[in-house]
Amino acid sequence: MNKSALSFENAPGLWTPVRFFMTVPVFAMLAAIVMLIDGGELFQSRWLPSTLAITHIFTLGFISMAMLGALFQMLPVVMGVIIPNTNRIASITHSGFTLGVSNLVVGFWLNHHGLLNTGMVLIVAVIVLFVASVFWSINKTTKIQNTLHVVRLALLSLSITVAIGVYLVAGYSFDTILIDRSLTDIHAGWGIAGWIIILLIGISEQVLPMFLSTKPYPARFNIRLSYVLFSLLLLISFSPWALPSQLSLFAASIIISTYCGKTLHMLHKRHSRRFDIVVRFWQLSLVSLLLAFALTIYHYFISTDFSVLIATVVLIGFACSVINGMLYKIVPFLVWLHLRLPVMTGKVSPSEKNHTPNVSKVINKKSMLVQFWLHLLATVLCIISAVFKSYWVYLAATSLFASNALLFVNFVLAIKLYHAHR
Amino acid sequence: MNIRSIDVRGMEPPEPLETILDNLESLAADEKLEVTHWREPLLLYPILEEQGWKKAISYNKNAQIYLITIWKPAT
Repeated sequence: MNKSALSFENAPGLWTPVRFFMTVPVFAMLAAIVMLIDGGELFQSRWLPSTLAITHIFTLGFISMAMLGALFQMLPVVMGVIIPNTNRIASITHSGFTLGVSNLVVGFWLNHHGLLNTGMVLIVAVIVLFVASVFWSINKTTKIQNTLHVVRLALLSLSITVAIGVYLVAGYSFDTILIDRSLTDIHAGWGIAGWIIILLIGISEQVLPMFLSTKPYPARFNIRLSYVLFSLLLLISFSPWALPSQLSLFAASIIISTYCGKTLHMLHKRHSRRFDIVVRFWQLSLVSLLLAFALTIYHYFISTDFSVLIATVVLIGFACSVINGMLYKIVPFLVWLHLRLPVMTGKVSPSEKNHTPNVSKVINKKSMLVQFWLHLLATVLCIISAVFKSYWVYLAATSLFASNALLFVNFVLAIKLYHAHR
Repeated sequence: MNIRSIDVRGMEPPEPLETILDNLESLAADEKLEVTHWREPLLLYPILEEQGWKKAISYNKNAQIYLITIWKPAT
């Protein structure tokens, strides 16, 4: 068995992952505000300051923020990896990352090189701290699950994404450094296909059967897909010949589509027939990812620039949907767990006050449903804005703000309930 | 020892943990609890340790299931 087994002393506290999750909708509301201010020009080009700012608010402030928080919880509880001083490292990672991302995106938005460089330095520092702590902790773990191999690949991809990001920001800030713009696609490829999709492939092996009552994936399905996808990314990034990298791009699309198809099928065939809004979030996410790859292949053949549309579908339709949905499973479970554990272990005697609410009552179901429809509306309006530009962006920004304000309120009420029963 | 078997696959968290702990509460001294699970219940282990239960874990690779056997050692 694992020598460094989980104990209540080294288990992450409630606030360890929740601080990351509470920050997620705040960044999305910030993105909506930037959209309202800079609306008109926003979807015209991927190189505009406000487009760069919004892209990084979503990739770092929303998506990566949630993924870092989820890893702080899942590594010890699901995968048996104990990060020493986890609460302190989480606190440093969260504050450094929040400050770094804020500086970086404001730096992009206002074209302020000082803020941009400060943001980059802070992000690099916390990612180095986080990745080093996790790799060190995995090496101390005696029983390596398949998911941990995938987590390692995802973290390597994150490191490559950040390393290329440092070079791109340096080129953006200093005239003496010439940047190769094709590196931007490689930076985005490692970020989306490597960090986000590989981690999702790994984590879904654990969370789908656990939270959504599906059958398990076929043995070694997720780990094989992850290794192939990682190898293809290496080939696309470092191949000196055009043909292998083009073939790799198509192969990567097939791998990701296979994952989407299999997961959609498993969700359709899940054991429980109870309506679950989180299943809708997953379905929206996976259908968006399939749409994004269809657009990527179309974009490749007709050489029209669809990059802003593809990024919108991937970031908001795919990544934000699956994260939004999973947070509706993770946050209520954490609230329940931290109320119930002291009673289960006899540290607190059961009383009227600390009676633990049912996990399904921690966040109001109707409120989650309304928030799903607002998110769907925001996704559709963002996609329309990316196609037709003009005033659609203001409607998209308003619905995006409303959706994330309600997500934030739902989390605040869950934490309030925790304090009321503590 | 008699074996009491429960299958917590397909249950959504926290049901598996609650079901296992409920069954342990009513487990007779000469009984063992055998739990079939999709994954290892890592959160359960520190509770078992704290309450003085013993456990044995086996994994069936073909069926992709964990079998966790829990019992109270004779005092």
